Amino acid sequence: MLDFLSNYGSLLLEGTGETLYMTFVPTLVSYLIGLPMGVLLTTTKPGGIMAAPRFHTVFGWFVNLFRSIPFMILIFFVLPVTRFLVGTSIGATAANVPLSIAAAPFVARLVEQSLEEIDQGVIEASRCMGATNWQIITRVLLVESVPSLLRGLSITIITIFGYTAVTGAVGAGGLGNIAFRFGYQRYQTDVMYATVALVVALVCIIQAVCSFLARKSDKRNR
Amino acid sequence: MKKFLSLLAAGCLALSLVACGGGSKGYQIGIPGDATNGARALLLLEAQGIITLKEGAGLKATERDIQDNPFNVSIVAMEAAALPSGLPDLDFAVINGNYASGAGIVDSVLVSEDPESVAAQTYGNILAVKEGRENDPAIQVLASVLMSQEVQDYIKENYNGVVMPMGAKEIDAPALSESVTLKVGASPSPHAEILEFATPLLAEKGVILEIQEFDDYVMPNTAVEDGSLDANYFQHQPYLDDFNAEQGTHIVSVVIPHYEPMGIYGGKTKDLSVFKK
Repeated sequence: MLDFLSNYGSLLLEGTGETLYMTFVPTLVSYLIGLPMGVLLTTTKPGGIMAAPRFHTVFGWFVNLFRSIPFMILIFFVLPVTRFLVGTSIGATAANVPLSIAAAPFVARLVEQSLEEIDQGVIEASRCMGATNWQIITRVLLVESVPSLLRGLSITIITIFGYTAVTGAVGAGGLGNIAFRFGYQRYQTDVMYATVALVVALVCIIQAVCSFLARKSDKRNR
Repeated sequence: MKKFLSLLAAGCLALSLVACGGGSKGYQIGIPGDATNGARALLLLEAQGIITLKEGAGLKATERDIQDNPFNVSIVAMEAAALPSGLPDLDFAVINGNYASGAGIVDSVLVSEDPESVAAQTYGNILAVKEGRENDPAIQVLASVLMSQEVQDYIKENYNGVVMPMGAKEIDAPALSESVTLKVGASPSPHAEILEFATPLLAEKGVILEIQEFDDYVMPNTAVEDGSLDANYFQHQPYLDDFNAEQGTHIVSVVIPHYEPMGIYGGKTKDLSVFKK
């Protein structure tokens, strides 16, 4: 055990760092892009507070377009964009670009789903009290749906976490890459088991934290 | 909402800590991440005196087996086919000839494996026959023609460095009293092309060559094993050893006519002289 740790400890630690880096930066960026997108999807749909059916349809196609490109291909497809934005196409920082692009439309759909759950009556009530669209979005839609948004957040983080396994293709490292290169290709099963154990532990922690926050923020529990 | 924001802030903090640790100096060299190509790339870097590997690492080496790193290079292991597109962001990359050729960057090669290197000897493409037939007169004629100056020159001149000859070698082949037909299985390029070039040369020596092209890597070996082919020419020795072990076949190598070299290609840095002391 000690032998294994002295041999692979630093490798696994480095991999964990890279994986967390490639998970949380894209999560942040994808929410910056995906949250407004999700709000637009909800509010512009027929019967929404800013109904614009034609825009809604076209925008929906746009979101679907990026949802449908397989991630491995997206990495190479957006390579010029990556180089333009972060100055390199190699490594974990570069991998954050395709990860964010892949996750943003995913987040948009999750946000849309969360906002849909809000009782129409609440929106009607605030409308009657003279709330503007902006006020409805920021004070009603986004506030009322926080528990659901947080549950969506855990799904997003864990999905991106899974995506990071293939970014090794552009030299980004990470736990998935270690499991693949050392565990699978070189038959070092101990490395494989250690990586899987780490991944499972990390996912459990992420899920637990998000669930806890979602429960805390749910006013029905207060 | 406040909790959500504080979570974000905590995330940012954690990230900046991780990002700070990630900085690296020195030249970045891209290598293929898979087991065989990765080790081969590291051996080439070692041959150039850029790194030294731990003793005995050989064809199983990974970047973790680097013993000395006098120039403090950092090795970036990635998908072999993605190396040409990543080259502009790396200082150097070690790339397989076929991918470099596909990407049209063969001109930027700085140095390639030489025919004497362990890698070329190991991953050279072999002419293989069923065990016991390696001394058949007709097979010997075929081997001698493939290793002749003419065929070796043809390989050198026609593949832009992606396919390299192992060097002409004299093989004593007996003269045939009557003409013999040989059926040989080969991959379309370059193997079948090389055989096609050799066909008239073989005809002069009484061997009529029938080339059977294959797109897969299993059939040519099973066909040699069951006798429907006399020889095949498409694989390297490690693949054959693996195949023999897996399938219980008895196929052996006769000669190594060519190899498909890996090269060091220049990206951000165009000159290997930065590694001179």
